[in-house]
This record gives sequence, C-alpha cells and structure tokens, in this order.
Amino acid sequence: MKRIGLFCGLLMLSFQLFAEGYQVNLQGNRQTGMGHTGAGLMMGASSMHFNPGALSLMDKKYDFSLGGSFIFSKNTFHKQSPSAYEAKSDNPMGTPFYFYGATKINDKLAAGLAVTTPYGNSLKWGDDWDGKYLIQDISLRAIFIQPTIAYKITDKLGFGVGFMAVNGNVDLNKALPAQSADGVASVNISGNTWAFGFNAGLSFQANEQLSFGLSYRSKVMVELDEGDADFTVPPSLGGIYPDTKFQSELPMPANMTLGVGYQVNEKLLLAVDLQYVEWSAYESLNFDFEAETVPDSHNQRDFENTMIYRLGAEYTLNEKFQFRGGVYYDSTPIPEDLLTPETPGTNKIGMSLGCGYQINDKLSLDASLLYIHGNKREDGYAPTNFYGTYYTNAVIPGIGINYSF
Amino acid sequence: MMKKIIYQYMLLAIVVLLAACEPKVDDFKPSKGTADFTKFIAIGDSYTAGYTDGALGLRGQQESFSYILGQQLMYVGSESYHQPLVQAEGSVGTTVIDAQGTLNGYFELKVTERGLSPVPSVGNMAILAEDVYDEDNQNFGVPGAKVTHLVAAGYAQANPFFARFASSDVTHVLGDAATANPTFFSCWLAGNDVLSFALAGGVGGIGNGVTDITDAATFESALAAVLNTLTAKGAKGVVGNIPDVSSIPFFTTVPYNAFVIDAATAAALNAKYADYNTAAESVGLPPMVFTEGPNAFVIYDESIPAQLGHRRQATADDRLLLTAQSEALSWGPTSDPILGNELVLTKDELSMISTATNQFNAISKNLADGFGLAFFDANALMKQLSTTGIIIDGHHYTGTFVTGGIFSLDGIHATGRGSAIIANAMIDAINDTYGSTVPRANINDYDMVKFP
Repeated sequence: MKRIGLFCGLLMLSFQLFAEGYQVNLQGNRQTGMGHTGAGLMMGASSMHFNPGALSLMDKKYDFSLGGSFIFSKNTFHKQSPSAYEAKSDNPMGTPFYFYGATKINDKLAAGLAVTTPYGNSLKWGDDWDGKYLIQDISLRAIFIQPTIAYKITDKLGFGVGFMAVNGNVDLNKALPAQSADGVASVNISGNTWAFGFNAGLSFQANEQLSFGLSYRSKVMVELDEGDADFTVPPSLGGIYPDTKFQSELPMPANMTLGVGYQVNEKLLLAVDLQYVEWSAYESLNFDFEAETVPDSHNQRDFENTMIYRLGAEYTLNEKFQFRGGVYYDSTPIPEDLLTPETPGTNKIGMSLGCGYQINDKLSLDASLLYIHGNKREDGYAPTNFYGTYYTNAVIPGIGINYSF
Repeated sequence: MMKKIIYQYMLLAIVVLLAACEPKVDDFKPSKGTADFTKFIAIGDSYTAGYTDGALGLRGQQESFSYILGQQLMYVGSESYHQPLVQAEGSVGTTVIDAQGTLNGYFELKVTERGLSPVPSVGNMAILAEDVYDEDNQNFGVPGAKVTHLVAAGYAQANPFFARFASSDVTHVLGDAATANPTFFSCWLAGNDVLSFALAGGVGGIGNGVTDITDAATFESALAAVLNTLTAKGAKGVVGNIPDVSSIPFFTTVPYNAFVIDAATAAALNAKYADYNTAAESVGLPPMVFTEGPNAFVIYDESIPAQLGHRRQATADDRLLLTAQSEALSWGPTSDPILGNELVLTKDELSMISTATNQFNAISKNLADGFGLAFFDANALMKQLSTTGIIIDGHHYTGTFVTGGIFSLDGIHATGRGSAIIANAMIDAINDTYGSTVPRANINDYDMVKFP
C-alpha cells in the first residue's frame, strides 16, 4: 500500500502551463489539468489566483493547497537559410510553485494568503552559441505574495480582492563584441527588487449548473534601481567597462479573465476561460548604467496584447477519482521582426491531462501533465539582424496536495 | 495489484514522453545548383593568401576568406582545401623593423605610452625561405601580387611569398593554378594594381613599376588571360572587384588636421613660415597658419612650386596614411614637421586612384559577366561598412580601425570575422549566379582584433 502511495504521488505530477512571453500559467494543478481554466469555477483557496471573488463562495472552513510543476522545455534554433547552423537550448528545469491557505471568517467573509509564481523564464543557449551577443542565458523569476479578502454579497455573488507584493529576480548573461587572448567579453546582469499590484474578481453562481467569473490581475511594473552589471572584458578596456549599477524595469502585464463553468451532470464539469493579457505594457527593455563610460542599452520590444482561449473538463469517476483534460490556444505577443532568442515566443497549443485522488475526507492530491507545442516560427530581431527558425516545446508535469476541513 | 501495474506503466509513459520531447526540425539541404564544386582553388593576392595584422602566418591562413569559403563549399561537394601552410613558428611581413633588416611579424594591440596601439612583433624570416610546394595545393594567393604578376613567368624570383609554394622559379601563378585543374575558383585581387601606388603615398605613375598604377589595357588583358585559362575546361567561379581607398582604414584613420601643438610651438611655426607665406601670397597660394590645438599637417605636394619647397598644409581633400601617425609622434620639438610624399595621398593622387579603381572595376564586372561568373562587389561591401556599417548576428560592424571588427591591425587586411563576412558575400553571389544553396559561414565563430 505504501508503494502504491509513492507511485500514485509520482503519477499525480500535474502537468502545467508554460505560456507566451514570460508568463507562466501553472498556478493550480486541478486547473492545469483542465487547460488552466478556473476563473468561472469555485476552486476553494486556489481561487485567490484565478478569481478572488470565488473565495467568498468556498464551502469549507479551512482550505490549504500546495503544489508545483517541473518545466522541461526545449528550444531549437535553425539559422536563416542558407546556413547549416543549428543550436539547441539546454534549459534548466523550471519549477513554478504555489501555496494557498484560506479560511472563512464568518458566513460572509473569507480571507487567505496566496503565494504564486505566475511569471518567469529560464533559458540557456550556451556561452558560445551564434546568438551570444543577444543572450547566453536568462533566469527570470517573480514570486507573488497575495493576502486576499473576499466578501459574499449574496449567496450567489462574491467579490474578492488581493494585494500583491512581488519579489522579482533577474539574472542574465550576454557576450560583448570584444575579444582578448582569454576569450570573448561578457556581462552579467542581475538584480532583485519588490513591486506591488492587486488582483480582484467577481464570481456569480447563476444556478446549480452555471457559474461565471470575471477577474482582473493588475500590471506589476518591476523597477530595478540598483541592479548589478558585472563586466568581464580585456584588462585594457576595464576602465571603460567597470562593474557598475544599472536601472531597468520589466512589466508583469495585466490579465483580464472571463470564465464560465457548466456542471453538465453529477459527473461532468466543463469550463471555458478567455484570458486577455495586456502585453503592450512591454515596450522596451532598457538598461541605464550608472558608469558614464558604459553606453546605455535600449532594446525595442513593442509586445502586443493577446488572448488565450481555454477549454477544460473534469469527470468524477467515483468518490475517490476525478479525471481531467483540457486544451488551450495561446497566441504570441511578440510582433514580426522583434523576436529575440531571450523570449523565443510563438503561437502555442497546450494539451493537458490531470487527475484528482481523494485520500480521505480532508486530504486530496492533484496531478497534471501538460504538453505545449509551439508552432515553428521563422523570424528574428531586426535591430540586431539575427534571424532563423525557432522550434519550441515543453512537457510539464505537476503535483499538488490539498487539505481542507 | 492491478492498480500498481497501471501506475508503473503510466510512470514509464511519462518518462518516455519527457525524453522524446525534442521539437521536430526541418533539415537544411545544401545544393550545388549548376556549378561543380569538386575541386575549388583560390587565386589572388594577400587577402586570398590569409595575410592579416601585417604579416603572413598560420593563424591568418586558417581564417582567410578563401579558407572559410573552402570550408563552406565542402557542404556542396568540394573535397578538400589544401594550402601552402606556414611551417615555422610566427609570421612575417614586409616592413623592416631594425638595422639588421629584420621584417615585422603580426601587429599586436598593446598598451603603450600613448594608449592602445598596434605594435609589430618580430617576424620569422625563415618563413620566406620555406619550400612548401605541393601538387595538391589549392590556394594561389600571393601577397603583393597584381593581376599582371599572375601571368608573369619567373615571378617567384621577385616575390618570396610565391617562391614558397611555386612549382619552379620560372613558372607563373596562373600556370600553377591551371595545373590544379579546378572545377571552381575564386579570383579576387583586392587592389594591388592601385593599392601599391596608394600605399606608397602616390609615389609613382601609370605603368609596370612596383608602386605604379597598372595601365587599364594591361589590367584588362591580364585578367582576361586569367579567366580564360581557368574557365578553359568549363570551371565556374567568382570574381571580386577593388574597394576604393576611401573605405580602407589605412587611408581614413589619421585626420588631415591631427597635428596637435601648444601655443609656443604654433608661434615658432608661424615665424618659421613667415617667408613662405609671403612667397605663397605672391603666387596666389594659401598661407600656412598654426594655432594652439589641432592643425593641418604640412605635407609634400609635387604640384607646389619649388620656391615653396613643394610643401603646403593638408586639407580635408587629402588623405594621410596610417603610418603618418607614428611619423608625427616621433617628431622632436625642433624637427621640421613635414609629412613626406610617401605618407600622403594628395587630391590629385586620389583622383588618379579613383579613376583607375573605377576603370578596373568596370573591366572586372564586364569580364565576369562575359565568362558567366559570379561577381563579388567588394567595393560596395567596403563602402557600406565605412559609411553606415552592417549589423550582422547581434553586432554592428564598421570600417573603423581596430574597433570596427572587420579590419585587422594593419588597417588593410581583414580580421577572421571580416574574412567570414567577405566569404559570405561571395557565397551570396555564387548562390545567385548558379542557383546553388551554399550555406553561409557563422561569422561569430571567427576572431576580431584581440585586446590586451
């Protein structure tokens, strides 16, 4: 029995989402199994991320949820024809995670804390690959800490709002076009800072079968005032490129999501989400260096707003087991001629499977498996004239545990 | 029990799925089009030979445009690219650097009293005495060669760089190249037919002397002979033209007014040239004027009357050679601050160069078209580099000396990366002409100037 438990645990690895731009939609294994739908569903504590309004409609006194995913992503770059050059990224495993804890204070009021990682990027092309002057590797991570409060306006209508404190962390390396006998010059850019935003939502249980939700997660502008730029340059250029501080900012774009849940019968639940992501906030990535001799770096991005279409289903087999499936289509925010190897985005199709296992009346496990197929994209970044065909995919298992009473 | 087996199989399935998740990639398919690349040879001058940083050595031979082109052609059927590789350590150039007659080796960028500056290393003269003749040789690039030299019997006796790999001391470069039986060739003489004159500061005329500009009719018949011989058995090829001196850093780096002096020196010079100014005024020529700060250099100009010492101040229409900089810096406080004839290209000399360059380039284009060969417009490429620059694969390249990325420390020859850019321009011309898909080289794989 113990061994079965272990295998079950591994199997329950939930497969989660790895979305366009540097957004990571993997914030609940039950939702991920259903194509990461959830804005229109009553999902207990995890609603704090998907739709804080639904938190007020939770039926348990206490609800905790903890989980994570393992992103195995692969990128292949084939240089613009005619060229025989091909590069494969060696991406470290991405590990987004979530924690939700919520309680009902009284019949009307619920409160909780959510810790999520809805943005991130982890990509490693290598120190000596052909696009080294654009990027060698990048690690971008944001942890959202969100205390949330929700109020049940009527038995059918809930409203919730959360305050988001965001810790953003960036670490990237790129080569510089200067050489010494020791090799190629490079710069390491790193920084960590706090930023803030909010998350609000309305949830409406129209009848036994139909529920609606609308949520809005605000933009969070992560402003880095004192990042570190460490230059590795030939000694004779050390005076021009000293290690210095820099200022930069990176937006975590706003999300508006409309969701519908439909309980077809006792066994089958369907969900649809439309998620609008305001990527146009990402106009450029600029580094203003403190040292006057280091030229500032301005990089055009001009991302465009996108819509993600999600469809999910959950089938309750019996009191113990639930099976889930979902698909979504995530269009890229990155316009033509502005595609960089740092965020090699493309239109993506996600397909997910998941299952839930009720261990006892308090404890349950959720597992998901998500496969993301990126359409091949033949494009590049005009300002630095780096073009080719990018191929992307990812397999993302995830697992979560829920405890409620 | 049943459940356990199911779980185990599902776990296995997940592991397999993770391992198999490489994206599917469309493979690149090289093709040779209507050309036959089986046996490629390169004929030309120092660029073809792999001369860089002011000298010939193994490093430059392994990152010349002809070597890079030779490597890329192997994707479309070329079987080899054998070169007369330097056997000895080091490198050798053509500038005497001491009283014993030692020649320079590679220039190296060093931190000197006046900042970062290219400094010649000591050359290895043994390289010039090497005999590396091999019937498999495919690189017939001879540093210093003009088109006319390629067809000159006995040229090995005049040029030790050719003697290294010539089949005999009475052969000519074209004869040896034809014996290699190429199916494809590159023929690029980047300009000794005008450059030799330019490098000598315009000391010379039109003719067959070492520092003369080749006569256009002679140029045409020599190039026609080369192309006629190489294509006689059906070989295809690529022909390059001559970049104008205005896009080569050797001629663009030192400004005409880089003579920086203090107020006392300016006053002394104004006094010194008082008589000159009186005489100049009487024949309607401009006076010499010196002030504190940057001033126009005094230069030698044949066209200025003898009573003025054939000298005048430079203007923006003249070009000073890169070597003028070190000459000026060597001047003591009491030196006569004049740049000799060999350090300056005057307006008139520049006009001769530009006329010849245009004539030669028209002839090259005409002959390339006539023989159905691909045409590499080196002049256009270098002009673009020296004006707007070119952005390639993450970096903005320019024709600027040392930092531009293209030109090596001699200010004339290419770095490894410059060579790769040239090779790619030739590949584009070849693909256009023969409908082939020869893959381009990755320029970022090659070196630029190394900083200390």
